[in-house]
Amino acid sequence: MSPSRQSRRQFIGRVGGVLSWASLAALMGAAGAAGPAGAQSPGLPNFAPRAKRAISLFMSGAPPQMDLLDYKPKLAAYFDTNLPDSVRGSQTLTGMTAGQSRFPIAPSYWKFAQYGANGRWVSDLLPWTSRMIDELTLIHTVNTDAINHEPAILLMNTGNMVPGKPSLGAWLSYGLGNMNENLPAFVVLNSRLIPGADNQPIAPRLWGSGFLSSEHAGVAFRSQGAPVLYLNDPDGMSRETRRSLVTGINAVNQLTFEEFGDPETHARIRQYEMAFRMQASVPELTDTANEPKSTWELYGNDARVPGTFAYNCLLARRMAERGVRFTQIYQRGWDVHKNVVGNLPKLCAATDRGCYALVTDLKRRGLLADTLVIWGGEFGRTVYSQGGLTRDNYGRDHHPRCFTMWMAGGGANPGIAHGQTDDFSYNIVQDPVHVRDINATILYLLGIDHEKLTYRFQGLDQKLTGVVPARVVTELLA
Amino acid sequence: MNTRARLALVALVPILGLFCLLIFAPPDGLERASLAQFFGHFHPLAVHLPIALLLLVPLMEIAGANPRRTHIRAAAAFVLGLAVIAAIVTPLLGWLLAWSGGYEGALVTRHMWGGASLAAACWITWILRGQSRTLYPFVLVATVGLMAWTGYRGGQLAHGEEHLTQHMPQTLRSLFGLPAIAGNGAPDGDPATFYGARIAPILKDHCLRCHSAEKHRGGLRLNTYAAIMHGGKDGPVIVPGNPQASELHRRISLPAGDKDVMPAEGKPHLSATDTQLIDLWIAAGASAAVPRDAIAGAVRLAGPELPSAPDYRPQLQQIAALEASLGIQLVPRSQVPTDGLILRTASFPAHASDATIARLAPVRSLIVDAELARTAVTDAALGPLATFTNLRKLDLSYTAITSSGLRALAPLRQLETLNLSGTATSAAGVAALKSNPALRHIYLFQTPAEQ
Repeated sequence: MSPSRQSRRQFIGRVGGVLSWASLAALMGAAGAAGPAGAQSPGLPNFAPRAKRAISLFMSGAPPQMDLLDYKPKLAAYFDTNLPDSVRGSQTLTGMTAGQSRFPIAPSYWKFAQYGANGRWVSDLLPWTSRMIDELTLIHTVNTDAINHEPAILLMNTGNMVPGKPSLGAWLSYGLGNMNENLPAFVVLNSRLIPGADNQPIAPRLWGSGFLSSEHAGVAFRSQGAPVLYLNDPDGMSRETRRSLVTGINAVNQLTFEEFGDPETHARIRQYEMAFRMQASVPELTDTANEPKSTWELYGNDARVPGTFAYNCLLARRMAERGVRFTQIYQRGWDVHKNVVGNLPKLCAATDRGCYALVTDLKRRGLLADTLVIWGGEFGRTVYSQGGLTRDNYGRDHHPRCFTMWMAGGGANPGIAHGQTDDFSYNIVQDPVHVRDINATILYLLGIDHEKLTYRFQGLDQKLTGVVPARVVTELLA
Repeated sequence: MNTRARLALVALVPILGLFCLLIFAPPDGLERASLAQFFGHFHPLAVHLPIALLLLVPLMEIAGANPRRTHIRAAAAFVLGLAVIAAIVTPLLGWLLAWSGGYEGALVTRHMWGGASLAAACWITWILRGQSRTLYPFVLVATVGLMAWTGYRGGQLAHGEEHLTQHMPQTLRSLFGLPAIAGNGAPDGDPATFYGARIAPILKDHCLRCHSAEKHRGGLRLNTYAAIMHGGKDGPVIVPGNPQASELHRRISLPAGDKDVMPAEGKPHLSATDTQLIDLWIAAGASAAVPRDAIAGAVRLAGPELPSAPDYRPQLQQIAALEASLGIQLVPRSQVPTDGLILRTASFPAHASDATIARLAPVRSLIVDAELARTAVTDAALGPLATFTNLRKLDLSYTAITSSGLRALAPLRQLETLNLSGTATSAAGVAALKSNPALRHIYLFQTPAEQ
């Protein structure tokens, strides 16, 4: 090996490692990195977990909490009155509504009714969610630091508003590893777009691995056509030929590693191996032909169409059965700046039944007890209307101060509603839960102390919850 | 002026300096430069020197009284001189530690003045030894007594106020007029009690940084039950049965930013649940003996149940060999080695068969969770599985298990969760599981027993 072929960073890293007190730890770390793919990191889980796996249902674009789960009956009396300055305070609004001369209060267009043993209020838009309300842990007081989509969705997924940090799924892959070596530990399912909805773009950095080895990044399945491209070997290529091809490529990559010493080369070898194994495992995973009739009765016929949210929920259940650690389903389109009355029913219709079916299916199959399901967007929406307000329609702008998420299964306490917002669903009255508290709690349920799952990068022991103190919201635990 | 007198004068300077420090720069509970702390932390080490040296002096004086051993007596002067030096250096280090390490409180003050006085007493003893043969023995004995008193105070600082008395036999305790030990005197609390399982952990997480043996701001320590009930310099902090009248309740319930609020200085506050637990505990009498689940209204204990399997580490090699040869994984549930192993077959479920289960016999007591869904196991595996005595979770869904085999699982006393979805289990098969005492969840989706 000629050191001159290594990058300065790798060279310094190695020399430093050998010279420093930390050399033993560094050597152990290197041994771990070269070990079998997807191994559990030493010392993890920190304690016996409640959940073995998690599924995130990400409503990208931010659902309006007061139209769905945060019932505000007093708003009706305030229709078209100006939001009091005392409520808005000194908040800086987005450029989309900061110029408005009025902030007219828009009560929800939809009726609410009480459901479940605890009489939780749910909007008529969510007939399926209302049926399983006793399974859910509602959190009404999630709040975030960002008011625009990109920083907020990054904060929710990576714990930081600046791109480049590992996502929650990547941390879980790094910390807990695979349960099934033939499937990635972290799979992302993008759902089909909903016609007419305002579809904010999303990017792979939301499921990226940041400074962690790149094999921990989420593997995104396609929403149309084959979920993974080139799974099938072309005519004339046998499984043995493919195997020897991958073996040959790995041998070359190993030579490259010996020359340059870049650990990413090992990650590449492992990714080739994973891709080879996925050629066999993914067709079995996505083959829903043998699903019983009860599956289609539960998920609805939408689930027969690949790429729909309902289909992705079914895939998520199949992945939970097969040992995928973290599945994240994105449904874009919730950015209802205008025409809430036109678009929100479409969004709910596309997602409501899938959410219900997934939780119910997991429960009847005995998987919900150790599968944590998380539903939510990157922030909430304003009680005041963006643009014109009529009795029949309104728009809602971004609102970071409070929004509703729910969890189900995996050690979350079913049936409770945590936190309280004011009569305008604008400020938190009691028990705020920051995004980093949500992440700390998710990690806790998976057996991880968020203070201990760290990775040294740029001189800092980086962690998902960042440097501002975060707390596990013990009130949410069963 | 002879050498001895000059030495005495030189030694007087640091002694007076020591008293000046105590008067003009007393420790105030703030933490300071880490270099001062670095040196300060040598105090607990250095403190043994003056004790040993000073104890040696009367022994040497007595042993040297024998005319055949006068040389020992001659050397006593030298040892006493060393003791003076040690008795000056040690309290200086102690002051550094207290001043920079965030110490305050009556005990610290008493210990410090004891240490400074001891330096002065040693110095006086050393002077008198050459001057007055009548006064010297009395002063020496008094100095040793002062040393014992100061050392005991130091021991209380480092090891807790009851460090000498907490395990004292009852007869001896009554001789000293000490109160009898309460029924449950375990310092960290018995985890079977509400105090040990619910209250002590909250105090440990939020309070002990400032209120423990090392530091007790406001004279308050919260690291033992007795100390909690004793209270701080302003009296008790708990009025059993009355949370509203308890200072502890008042301090933790104040709004953030109040100057009296605890935990102070921007440290994270107790959650609403924690505050409620403390209130419930005080309302119920603040006893250390009340059982863990006996207080109504308390949020159920978060955290996993306490599974117990033997430590798997002695069998690591065997575990690795089984994983390699059987194509299964034996994954530790957590870093706690007695949390047991998960038998995982997700990578190659079809490879896991009855033979696999039989071959796992050497590690059967370690497995607490067996994931056998969609594997090739049949009823023949249930007999061997029934010897996995610590099994709590068993997933047999979508296997060829039948009702007739389930009776074999009866010996699994710990089994809590059994997944039989997608098997041929009938109602009769489920009835055979009635004798498993811990079984709480049986999943029967897609089975004949579903209705």
